[in-house]
Amino acid sequence: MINVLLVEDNVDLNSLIATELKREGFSVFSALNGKQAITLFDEQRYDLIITDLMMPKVDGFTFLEHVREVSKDVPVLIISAKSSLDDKQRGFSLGTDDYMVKPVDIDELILRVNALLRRAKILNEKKLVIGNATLDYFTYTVTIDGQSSILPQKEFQILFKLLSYPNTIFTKNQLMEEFWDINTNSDDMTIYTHIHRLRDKYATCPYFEIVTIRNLGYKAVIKEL
Amino acid sequence: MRMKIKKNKHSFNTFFLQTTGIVFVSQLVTLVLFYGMNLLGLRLHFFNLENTPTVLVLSILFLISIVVGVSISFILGRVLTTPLRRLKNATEEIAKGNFKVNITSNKRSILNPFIEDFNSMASELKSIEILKSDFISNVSHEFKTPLSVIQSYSKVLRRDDLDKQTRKKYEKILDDNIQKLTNLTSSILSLSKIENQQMIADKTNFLIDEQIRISILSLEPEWQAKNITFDLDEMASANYYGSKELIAQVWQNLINNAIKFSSDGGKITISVKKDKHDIIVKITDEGIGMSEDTIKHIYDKFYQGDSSHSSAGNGLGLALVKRIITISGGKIEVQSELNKGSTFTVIL
Repeated sequence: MINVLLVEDNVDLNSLIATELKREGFSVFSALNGKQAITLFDEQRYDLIITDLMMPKVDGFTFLEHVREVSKDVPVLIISAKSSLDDKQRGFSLGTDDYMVKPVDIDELILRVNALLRRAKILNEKKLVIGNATLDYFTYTVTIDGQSSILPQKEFQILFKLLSYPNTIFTKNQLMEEFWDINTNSDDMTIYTHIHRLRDKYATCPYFEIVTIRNLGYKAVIKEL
Repeated sequence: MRMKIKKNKHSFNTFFLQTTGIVFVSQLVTLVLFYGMNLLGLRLHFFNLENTPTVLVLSILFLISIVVGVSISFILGRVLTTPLRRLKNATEEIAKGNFKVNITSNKRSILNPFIEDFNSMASELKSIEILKSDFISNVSHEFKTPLSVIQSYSKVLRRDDLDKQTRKKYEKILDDNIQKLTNLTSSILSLSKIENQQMIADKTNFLIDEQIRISILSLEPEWQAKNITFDLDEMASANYYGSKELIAQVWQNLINNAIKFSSDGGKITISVKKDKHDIIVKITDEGIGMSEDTIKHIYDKFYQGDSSHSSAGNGLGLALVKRIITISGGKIEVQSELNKGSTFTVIL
């Protein structure tokens, strides 16, 4: 049973989101302010936390700080009317995994909740499964239809990242920032080379492919079987 | 808002000289009168130095001179202080919020330059107030329109006898208008924040080309839906020192417009070039374009040139873009031809 902690001070919104999440099959625990949230959070383990920012007693940022002190991994989704980049930066630097600006589309919320849970599972198990292809983060091994091969570290990391966010385009800069040191000697061509090798290796893979969008970036596409 | 105030240093010096002059003249007049009357008295034998008590005569003459001198000073003083008093009263009115004041002045009055400045300040304040109340009434209209649609359709949707198709149609209209209100609220908030800023507070170094790429990616659902392709061959790497958040909104609005006004399968070309100290960004679409008339008003708040797309937008996007670019010290230009497309050029 997946436990979700929902922290939102607007009673109507809290009730609506809770109902929708329960319909998705989650077990929902609601808090109407930061203080209640901390109490509930300390009582048991949660698979996902959804929290507002502007709340009475204890605000969302403070609650988030508390959460991260206890657990570095639990996925957190902020939903807030605060829309400025500064607020978002603060949220992300305090450790939130996603940020939605109110008013939120309830369907989009559910999509993001599922994506966060999926990624958390991947991170937990350090394993990615797509069709009959498996990626094992601990050994940098890619197994397709029984055939395993070990990839060089950077290549594997890029592939793992792209497949963790299927159909999402990443720019060269974004990939460089994530996997390379700021003082690296590598340049744009390095990414280009890695991607090229990946594309060649998995050109005939029936489960996914790496696509280049000219001048924009790269993405992994899951092939429909 | 910068007011056009004439350079009045020269006029003030004149004012000072003239005031001093008047005081000096009135003193001189008093003295001259005093001695003049003495001389006259002696000449006309009203008194002579031997038989009339000198002290008495002198005192009387002195008294007369003072009275006359003071009267002259008083009259001259009124000439000076009346306009000053009018200025003071008018300033008090402005402080109370009444910008309709206007001081009439004699062109030859020494306070004339001050009075003219004052009048132009009052009229600037009045026009700002008009702009503000126009904005407020526009905003209120923009909010009321979707709100009334939402109210009506929400009521109709409560009926049991609607067929499925109609219900779906009405529900979509409800969603669209709610989205419209949401967009309007954030646009107005952004615009208000920006209008009060004269300069940028948080500046950082960032890459313009990367920011544009991220912006394009964030709009993927929109351009995917219309099968739009991007030509990004000419995007040079350009470092810029400025407000990351504000400049990001510029690309977001311009690219969103390019997508909105392009037809299905259209192409959007974006180029980033460096030229000495400037970064030149061009965003070109092959969409419906704009007429010369439309171009003149595109940066006006709430202006929407094309009626068929006006339901999706709110007319504030370009006003925001223009304001951001202005306070960033940049320039924006547009070239457009009806049915051929538009090119927006941003120079930072």
